[in-house]
Amino acid sequence: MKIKEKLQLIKEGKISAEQNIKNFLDEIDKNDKKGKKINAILQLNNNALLEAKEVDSKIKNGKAGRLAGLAIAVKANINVKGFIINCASRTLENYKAGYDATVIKKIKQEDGIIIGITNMDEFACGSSGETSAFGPCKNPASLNRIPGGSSSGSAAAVAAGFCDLALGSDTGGSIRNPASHCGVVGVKPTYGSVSRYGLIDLSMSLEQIGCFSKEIDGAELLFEIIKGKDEKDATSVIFPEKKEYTFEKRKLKLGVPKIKADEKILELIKDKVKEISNKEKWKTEEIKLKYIDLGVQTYYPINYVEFFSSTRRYDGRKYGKKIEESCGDEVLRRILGGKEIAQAEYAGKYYRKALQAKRLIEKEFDSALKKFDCLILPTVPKLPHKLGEKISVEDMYNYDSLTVLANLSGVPALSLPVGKIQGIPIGMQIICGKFQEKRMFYIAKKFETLQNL
Amino acid sequence: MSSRREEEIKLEAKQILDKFARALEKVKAEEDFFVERDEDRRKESQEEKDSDFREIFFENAPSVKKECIEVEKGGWK
Repeated sequence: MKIKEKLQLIKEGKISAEQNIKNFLDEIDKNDKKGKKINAILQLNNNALLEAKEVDSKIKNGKAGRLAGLAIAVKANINVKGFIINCASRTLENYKAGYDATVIKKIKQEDGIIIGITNMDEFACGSSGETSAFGPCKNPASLNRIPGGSSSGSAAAVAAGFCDLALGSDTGGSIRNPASHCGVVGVKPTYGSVSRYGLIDLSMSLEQIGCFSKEIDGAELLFEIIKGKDEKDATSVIFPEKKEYTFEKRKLKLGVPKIKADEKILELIKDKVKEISNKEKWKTEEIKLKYIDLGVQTYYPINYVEFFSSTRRYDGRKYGKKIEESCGDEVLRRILGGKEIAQAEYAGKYYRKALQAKRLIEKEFDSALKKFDCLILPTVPKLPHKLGEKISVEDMYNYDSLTVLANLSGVPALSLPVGKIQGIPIGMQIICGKFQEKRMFYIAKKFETLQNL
Repeated sequence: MSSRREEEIKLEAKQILDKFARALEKVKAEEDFFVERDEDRRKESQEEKDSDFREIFFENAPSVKKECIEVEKGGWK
């Protein structure tokens, strides 16, 4: 059932919020730790049914919010008061959140019901969903393949039918990557458009909280609710709104950057672009971006240094354990690597150089997005590997080669499922200019109609 | 984790970062990456303080004595 349709039925009292939540809880019980054992959920909300009953009362009184009765799953690095927010790490194994992140407050104000906290790669350091200290998450769309990461549990929860919508965080592709592998929609908003207050950060100059849904309408609804300037996050900005959007009245122009990726993935994307341009009479043009192959090399030095800085608080004094004594390999790699290159003697070589390259990538994207309404790319350059398969650290980082670009540029990007290869879902990225989420959703909905979703 | 494994991971990280740095060597750019912000500090709001935040905060602490979190008692000795 589509989200809008469900919301309407809940509002009219034809489905109760309580029944909606109960259905999801039953499904989670059947398939998360039993059955298909997806392991998407780390902690359930034991009060979910009670909260749903309260929402049903509000609906009867005509006072319910825009998310009334919907079940929302939240990644384990976003503070939800009273829940264990452990970032899938032993470091914060028993850490109870003392407050709600701003995005959670907004969801609760609109009567969305937090159904549970989802699994992820440890401290968001990963792209596979395998590095959680509480067991890997499975891909509901392809059980022996990775679900992607780091927002693995949120993507899997939506794909498996454990919730209506989900929140994740995206620093270098951590929403879009698992969205692609699991066959759902994943949105990374413009940097600064959603408050990061209450997000346990990985790399604060790059990340944003974003959303998952099975359809564009659902993702758009959740984005509209969580966006906005927050006095508690100095990097958040007022989202500029227009009264009228002219892109709906004209033929759009899509830019398709030339990139290296699996041939079958490129072919699938090319077919979709051709299909939409025939149907909508949009123009498409292949373009060359000079710095497009430097995304990973630019992203990781910045990520490592910022992550090292953000982990100094995990000293085992106020809460949790000392991180270096309780984390997994990838987290330790980023801490030790970040510590090394953050030293004064290396300043010009790694971090500063990466910041310069970041600026060039941002300028190049800003320029391209002035000429084109959007850029179209695959979300990931290759098919997801099998769960447990050993791959090198560099090969793992290369999953991010096409997603980091939007984080480095600060622009919004989403992944939309466009087909399957060998039974594995494939996502396509739509990237627009800063604060052009409306345009991005509009274009995505047009592509969505090709799938008859 | 053994200190040997820790050294291996540190070396691995450095090798990866060195490889990335070599790829970025050819990047020539002006240093204009400073971001102008209207405000650079978080405003502490006037909204009501959460009454149970303090309780949860102390619950998370490894060691609490009276109204204080106790850390590294006599660690200098």
